[in-house]
Amino acid sequence: MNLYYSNILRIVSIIAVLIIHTTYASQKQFAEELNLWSFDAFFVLLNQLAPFSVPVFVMLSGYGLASKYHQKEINLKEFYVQRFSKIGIPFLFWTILLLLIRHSFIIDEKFFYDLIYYLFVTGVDYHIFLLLFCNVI
Amino acid sequence: MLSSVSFYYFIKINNKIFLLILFILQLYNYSPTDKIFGFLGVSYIIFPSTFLFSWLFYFYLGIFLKQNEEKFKLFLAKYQFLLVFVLLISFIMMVYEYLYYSFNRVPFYNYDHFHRYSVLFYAVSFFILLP
Repeated sequence: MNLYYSNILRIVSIIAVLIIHTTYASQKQFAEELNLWSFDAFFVLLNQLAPFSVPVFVMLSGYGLASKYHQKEINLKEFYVQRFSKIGIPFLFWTILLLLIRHSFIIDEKFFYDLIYYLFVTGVDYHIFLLLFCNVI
Repeated sequence: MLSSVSFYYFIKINNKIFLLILFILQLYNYSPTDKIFGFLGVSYIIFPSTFLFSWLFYFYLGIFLKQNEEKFKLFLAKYQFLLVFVLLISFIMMVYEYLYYSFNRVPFYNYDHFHRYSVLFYAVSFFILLP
C-alpha cells in the first residue's frame, strides 16, 4: 500500500467517523419509531456502513509505523520523544483544559486529585483516552 | 515508555501464531462474549473502547501486513472473491444484529459499537480490500 492509498483510506475513515456521529439523532428516532421506510432507517444503514473507521485507523497506525521503521534499527529514546510530542502533549493539553472547564477554572486539591486519576486511569473523556491508548501502543 | 516498548517488540515479531493469539484475545473481548459473562454474572469491561486488548489485534495486523506485503498481494490476487464475500456477509450480519436488537427494544448504544464479531471481519476485509 502506498501513501496515496493510505491517505484515501484515512479520508474515507474520517468521513465514516463523521457519519457515525451525525447519524446519532436518526438512531434515536429509528429506535422509537422502528419504521424501515423512513429517512432515519436510511441514516441507520449509513451508520452501519461506517464502523470500519476506527479499526482502520488502528491498522493504518500499525502499518504506517511498520513502513517507517521497516528493516531499520529503532532508537527507543528518539521514538518515544517523537510519539510523546505527537500524542502525549495533545492528551495532556486537552485533559487539563477539559478538567479546568469541568472545575470552573478553580484549581484546588480536588482538581489535582482528578487530574492524576484522569491522566492515569480513565482519561477525562473516553474519546481522549483513545489518544492515551495510541501512545500506549 | 510503554508506547516505544510495545511497538519495539511488535515490529520484531513476524509470527502468524502471535497474530492468532491476538485474534483469540480480540474474540474474547468482543460481543457476544460479554453477554456470556453477563449471563454467568461475572462483571466485564465497562468501556471496551478504552481497553488495550480491544485494539491490539488490529495494530499488529497492520504491522504484519507490512512485513508480509508481497505474500498478501499474492493471497489477495488468488482469494479476492473470498474477502469480498466476507465483507458482504459481515455487513449483512451487522445490519441484521442492529435490526434484531432494535425490534427487541434493546437501547441502540448497547449494540452499535465497534466491539462486535461482525465489525471485526467487516473492518479487516475492508482494510485489506480497498487498496
